[in-house]
Parts: sequence; structure tokens; C-alpha cells
Amino acid sequence: MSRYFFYFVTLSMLINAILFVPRILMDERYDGAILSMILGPIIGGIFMYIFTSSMLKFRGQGLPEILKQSLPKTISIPLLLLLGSVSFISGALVLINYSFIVSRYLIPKTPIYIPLILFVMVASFGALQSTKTVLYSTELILVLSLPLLLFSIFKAYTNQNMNFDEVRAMIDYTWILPSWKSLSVSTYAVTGYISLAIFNRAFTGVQTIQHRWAVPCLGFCILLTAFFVPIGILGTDGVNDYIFTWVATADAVRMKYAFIERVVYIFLLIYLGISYLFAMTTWHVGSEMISGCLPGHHANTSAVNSVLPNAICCAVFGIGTVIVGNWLGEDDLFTVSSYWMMIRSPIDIVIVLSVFMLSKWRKTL
Amino acid sequence: MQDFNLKNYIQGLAHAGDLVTRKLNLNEETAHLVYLSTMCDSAKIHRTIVHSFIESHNLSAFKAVLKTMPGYVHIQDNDRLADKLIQGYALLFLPHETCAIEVKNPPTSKPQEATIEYVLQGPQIAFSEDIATNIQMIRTRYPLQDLQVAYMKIGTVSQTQLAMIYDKSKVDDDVLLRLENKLMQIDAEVVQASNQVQMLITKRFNLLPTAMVSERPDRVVFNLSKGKVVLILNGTPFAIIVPAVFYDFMASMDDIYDIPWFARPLMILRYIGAFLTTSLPALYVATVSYNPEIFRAQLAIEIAGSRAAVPYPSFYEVFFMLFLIEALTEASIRLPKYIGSMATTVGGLILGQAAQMAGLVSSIMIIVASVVAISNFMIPINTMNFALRVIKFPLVVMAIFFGLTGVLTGLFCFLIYAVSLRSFGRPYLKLFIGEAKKSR
Repeated sequence: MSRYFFYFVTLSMLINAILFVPRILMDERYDGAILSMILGPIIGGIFMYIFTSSMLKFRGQGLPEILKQSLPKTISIPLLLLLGSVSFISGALVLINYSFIVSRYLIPKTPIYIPLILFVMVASFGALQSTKTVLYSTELILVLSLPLLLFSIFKAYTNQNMNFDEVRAMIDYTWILPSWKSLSVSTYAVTGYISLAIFNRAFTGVQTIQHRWAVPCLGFCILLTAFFVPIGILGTDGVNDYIFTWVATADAVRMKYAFIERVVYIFLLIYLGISYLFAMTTWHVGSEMISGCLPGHHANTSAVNSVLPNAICCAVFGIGTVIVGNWLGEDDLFTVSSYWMMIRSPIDIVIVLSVFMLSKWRKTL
Repeated sequence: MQDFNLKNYIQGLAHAGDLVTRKLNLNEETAHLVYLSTMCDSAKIHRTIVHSFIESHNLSAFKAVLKTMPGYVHIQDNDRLADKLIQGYALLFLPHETCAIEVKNPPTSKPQEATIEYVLQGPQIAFSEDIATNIQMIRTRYPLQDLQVAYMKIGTVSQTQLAMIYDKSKVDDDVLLRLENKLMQIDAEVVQASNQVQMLITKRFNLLPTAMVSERPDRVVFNLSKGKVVLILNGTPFAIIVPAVFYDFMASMDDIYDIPWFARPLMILRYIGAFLTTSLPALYVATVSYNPEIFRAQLAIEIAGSRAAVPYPSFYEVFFMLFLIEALTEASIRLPKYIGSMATTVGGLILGQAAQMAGLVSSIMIIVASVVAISNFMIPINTMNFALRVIKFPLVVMAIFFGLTGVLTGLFCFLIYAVSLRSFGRPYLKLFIGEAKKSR
């Protein structure tokens, strides 16, 4: 089962690195973004190490059960509600972001709320499935879409418009201390391990997760690609002109002999699937966290048993997503996202440290 | 001795037209032989019962001979006599006891050549309609003492005989338990077809089949050796295999008979076929009406040019052609064999050509429709074939409203749905199954 850990970690890296990170890091590209991309995965990797080792000590238990056992209700319930909403919001931001992209590139002239309603419905449908179904489908869809994605990234690297001089020019700005904003954004890219808080329920037979060192390495590679390829293709200063940096980058790549000439359509369709997956996993985690607050709620990993609380959570947050998405503009989105990531990082640290403390405390009992 | 009154024993059947009663007299003692002529083999009755009766000197000697016969049953309670008659037993009313001897007609149905799941070079004979013949075939192909056969009856009215066959050393007890529970819960009145049993033991509104129906003994035996449970229903030449996951429906028996160099590409071809048959019409609508810009310019212009004469939006022609294709498929199943080929010629060749000439559909749509129809029949198992035929319609609807986004959304939802299914506790669609079995 431990391979599933890498799927949801990779999933969140792909989403965050390609949808949010370039835009936010591009703004800071002369002010320490590069160093933050080196430091971010390392910091994220350390927290990932602590979190996974402490979670795995609670064999087959999710965070709601752990918190209920060891903390008084007055602390555990607000904490769970907070964590659930955090998870929901990070999925919702991706959906809003992607519905902007879709209404701009795939179904133009459509008001944003129409694709957003579709996305919210699909994400809720996925989130209401059982934990194992969510894991299996993550694996299935990632394995189906990753080869195509790697191919389109490869095409981007070998593209004749890719100018490595621009990349070299950026290296001069490496040794500048990053701001809190860019550091938290880079750390956010490797933050997918938090989903283990729920998925640990399905990891019943897992002693340790091997090859965890690969996560920061992978995160570093993806961040580097996400940052330098747009700079190489669009130019050191030119990247500033685009809102959806990576979509514009992919649009600069052509395949001369393929049926589909413009790589951007392959890229957009793959990312549609990956965004659905990401929203599905985060909303699943969120709804399980919130419905874990209810007394007498039993976690069920293999079959859909009590979906009503989860369905209510998804409906509430789904309606909220549609309203907020309709009200946000494209440029607001990135301001909101960067503030969100700055808040999110401390919350993640709090979760990791509290789980770590709980696992230590349990050992001494 | 008082008169023998048959009505006391078998009320319902006493006036049946095919009921035969014979009085056998021997040394002042009388035995009555009763049987249904339509169910029994009269030559066998003569050879066994009557012949030994004539050769016996008294009734007790006759009784002793009877007891040695195969299919001898001593009757304890007289309530079930009529059932025995219907099942093909001859009843013998001796002065102080009653016994039944099986003299059933030998089954008329012989194993026939496989017609639905045909393979090129492999076993050619399919199951027959008789349960005993089928079990004999399985036992011959799987001669192990671990093979367990359990009989039961399903259908409150039809009382159809059902055999549950499994390899005791390999079967998953959890699957067996779930299956037995499901079989107990069946309360249908008349059960006559394997597909019906398949529907009864899985969820009724499942779109994708979670139990496999196959006519091939080799597939059944292969699955038995993999620890699956096989159900055989009397009166149909099809066996039901549980649990069955998505990949089983995409596998042909050829895959294990041929070398991997061409078995694997053929398997990939089948998956591509499954993708095309479900999503090609939807992709056509999406690319023609929503996103023609995804193609290279020449191709997009070509497609637009072929639609120049078509006066309405692309989804009309898609529905028009899909209707024609589905109607043709349905008609060629219903029509007698010889007229069937005519219908396909008229429908497929002439109608398609004429529809394109008349400007009702574009010529590319004709290609799309025929690809959909052909690739649909690449899928080896019929139930999966039907399931995939249904799925393309919701995808077309999604394409009408959301274009390519909609097609991808539909496929995503379909995948999630397929992954969420369980076949008797086994995940239905999951990658790397072999590895998972070890780690579980």
C-alpha cells in the first residue's frame, strides 16, 4: 500500500507547482525565489519525514480517531473543523483556478460559474467515494496521464524557443534570501503528505514508507521545471506578462507531425484530470475530517457507508466555492492564493508537530 | 389386498396424460410401477426394472435386486412422490414400502461449437444446456480431488438446478461466503438464464457487470485454477464466474494460448477499441462544435469541409448515425441468420452512402460510426460489450454541453464509478493487482 503515499504527494506537487507556484514565484524571481525553491523542498521534506513516521505509529488510524483518543473534545473538534476546512479550501482554490483556465481556453465566452458548478459536482462525486476508491483512482488516473505529461514537458525542454541563456541569467539571482511568501509557497508544493492524516486508515499493513527521500528530490525537480521552463520560453522579463504562466508556456510549444499540433491542448486536458483528482482527494480528506467530529462516526475505508455528513460538507463547501469563484477576478485569485499559502504553512507545521507530540506521548504511556 | 389407489399418493399428477401405471403380479403379490413417459427412458425401465422383475422368484428377491440398482432411493415420506416423478424417477409401490429408481431420459442437448466467444486456435467446444454434461466436462478438464461441486435450487417456481463449483484449496472463503449469502437471498420466481443469475447475485443497477458469463469450458477451468467460483445453471450453455474484475472482461482466451509478441499488442488493441467505442462520438461532437482549433489547420478545414452540406449541428448527425448503428446491431441479432447479412448490407453500405450523399451526415461521421461499431465488437465478453455501448450516450451529452472538458469529465466520472465498484469484495478496477494480492 505504501506506493499510494507517493501518488498523492506527487499529485499535490504537480498541482501546486504548475498552477500556483510559477505565478507567485515569478513575482519574486529577482528577490530570492530560487533559493526558496532549494530550501522549500528541504523544509517540506523534514516535516514530511516527521509526519509520516509519527502517523505510521498509529497503525490504520486517521487523524480524527487519534485526536479523539488523546485530546479533550474542546480541543480536538475545533482542530478537526479547522483542518477539514483547510483541506477543502486548498481543493476549492484549484477548482476556481482551473475553471478560469477552462473558461478562457477550452470553452470561451462561458461565464465562470458554469464550469465551476460542473467541477464542484464532479469533485463532490469523487470525494464521497470510499477512501480506498479514492486511492485506487488516484493511481489509475496518474498512471494514465503522467506519461503524456512527461512527454509534453520533454517537448517544452527540447523546444527550439527554449532559450537557456535566459535561464543562465536567472542563476545570478540565486543567493538572495527569500521572503516568507516565496518560502511558504515553495514549501506548499511538497505539502501533499498531510493527506496521510486520513489515508493512514487504508495503510493498515504498512510498517514504513520506503524511498521517502525521493519526495524532496521530486519536489525540487518539479519546482525547477515549473520555474525555469517558462523563463526559458517566455523570457526573463516576458514571463511577467502572463497570468497563467504554464498554459502560456505550453501554448508556445508545437508538435509538427502530431494530430494535435498544439501541446497546450494535451496539457490542458491532462491538467483537467489532475485537478479533478486533487480536488477529489482534498475534499475527501476534508469531509472525512469534518464528519470525524460527529460522535459515533465510524471510519469505513472500503465501502460507502455513512455518506450523509460527507455529502453535507461537500455541498456546503461546493456552494461556497461557486460563490467565491464567481466573485473573484483572475488577478485577485493569485493574491488570495499567495495569502492562503502563507497562512497554510504554519497550520501544516502545527499539525505535524502536534501529531509528533502525540506519537511521542503515546509511546511513553 | 385392498385396491391400489394412486390418487392417495400423487394428487396433482393422477390425471396427467403422460402418466404410465403398470401392475406387476408375482406369486399373488402385486407391485405397481408408475412413471412419466415423457421424462423417462422406457428402454431403460424395461432393461432394469421389468427385466429383473421377470427373473426374480419372489418380491423379496426383487427388492434385493432393486437395492443394487444405481439411482435407487428409498422413500420415507409419501409427500414428495410427485416431485420424484417430475424429476424422472420411476416409482415402485411394493406391498409394504415405496421406492424410486432414476430412469431419466439421457440429456438431448449436446455440447456445441463455441459461437459467441470464438477463438481461432484453442478448444472449440462450448458448454451444453445440461448441467450434468457440463460438470462432466469440467471434471475431465480439471481432474483434481479438491474440486468441490455443491448443488442447490434457485427460483421459487422454476426450481432450477444450480451447481456451485470451486477448488477448495484455492478459493477465497470470503468470496464463497458472500456468494452463498447472495444466492440465499434470491427470491425470483423463474430463473432460466445465466445473465439473469448474474444480475440477481450482483447489484441490479450496476452499469458494469461484476460477474462474468462465459460459454467456454477452458475459460471456466482457467478461472477455477485461479481460485474463482463457478456457477452452472441447468438449461443454459453458460457458466457464471465470480468474482470478475474489469480486466477479465477484456481478456480473450487467446491471450494465454499465443506468444506474448502478438497477444499483448492485441490486448492493447482491445483497450484502444474500448476507448474509441465509448468516446469517439463524443470527441467528434466536441472537436467539431467546440474546439476545432485543437487539430492542425488542414485537418480542421478538412473536417469542416466534409460537414459543408450538413445543415444542422454536429450532435444531430451523431445521434442519427448512432441510432442507425444500434438499430442495425439489434436487428442483426433478431433477424434469422440469412436475412441478417442482407440487413447489414442494406443498412451499412447503402444507407450510410445515401445519407452522406443526401447531406444528412458528413462523410467523417460515417467513418466515426463504423469505427464505433467495429471496435465495440473487439471486446470479448458480451455483457461488457453492452455496458460500453451504453456509456457513449452520456458522453455525447456531456460533449454537447461542455465540449472537450465535458468528454474528459465524463470519462473521469466513469473511471471513478468503475473503481468504486466491488466484485464480491474485490476492487473492480485497480492497477497492479498481482502485487496487491501479496501485500493484502
